[in-house]
Amino acid sequence: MAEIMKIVKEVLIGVLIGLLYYLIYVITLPYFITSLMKIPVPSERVLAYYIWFFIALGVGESILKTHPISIPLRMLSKLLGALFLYTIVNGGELSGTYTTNGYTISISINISTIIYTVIAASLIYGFIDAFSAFNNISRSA
Amino acid sequence: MYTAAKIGVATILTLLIVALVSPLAVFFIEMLSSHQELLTVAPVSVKETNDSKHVNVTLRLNYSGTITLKHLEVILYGVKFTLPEVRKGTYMLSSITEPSKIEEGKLNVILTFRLAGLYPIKIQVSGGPHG
Repeated sequence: MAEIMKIVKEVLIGVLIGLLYYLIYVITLPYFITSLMKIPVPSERVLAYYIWFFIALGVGESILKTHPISIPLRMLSKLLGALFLYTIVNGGELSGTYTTNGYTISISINISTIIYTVIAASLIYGFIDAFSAFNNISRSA
Repeated sequence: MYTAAKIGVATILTLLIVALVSPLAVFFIEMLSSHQELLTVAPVSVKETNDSKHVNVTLRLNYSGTITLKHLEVILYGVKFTLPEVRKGTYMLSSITEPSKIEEGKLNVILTFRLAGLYPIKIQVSGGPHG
């Protein structure tokens, strides 16, 4: 019974980890970037599919946290997050067209500097996290 | 050791991202609060030059934002005006062109600049009340 509770707990932690990554990369960051400029993001239905990638990786990472396979899983969730963010905001190339009083106004902005910094930050943090996990696994082995 | 490193790196990277996002956020907040009058460009005069073959186009550019704009270019009636740096204030720009380039009633303005020297922005306004 205690073993089942332990597995359920790890699964729940994994789901929460997945939801956290989903919230950061697919919801919060793209919303913050695009709502400021009033530029549309892909529909919520499409975005909702991404949640399963993050939950699956989060659960895998949590259940297998004492196994070396959890190290690439940790990296993968951050890489996927960065990749989704890159795709959603079109690599930082944002544009929109509005019409007001008969005038057509087209605006385009390149914010790739921010996107690449977020990707680099995710990778740097991911590497440290992976080294930390490797250290913990090798100590417990 | 790794926990401290993770917190340290996360803090530095978060501060870096905030520093990168802040000029963009300030610019768009100022733009929304200024009712689209943050950056205005208006033609002031179109005068014939002494040789009567060209015209001197003068325009006024007004910027009321706090973020510096770099490498600003305005293309109005096919005439290019450039400013290396724009801070809060009013600027008068003039350039000489051929009269044939100026088509009355058909507006086409292209504005390009680098926000805070980091983010390239292009704004194009065309058409008019009668198309």
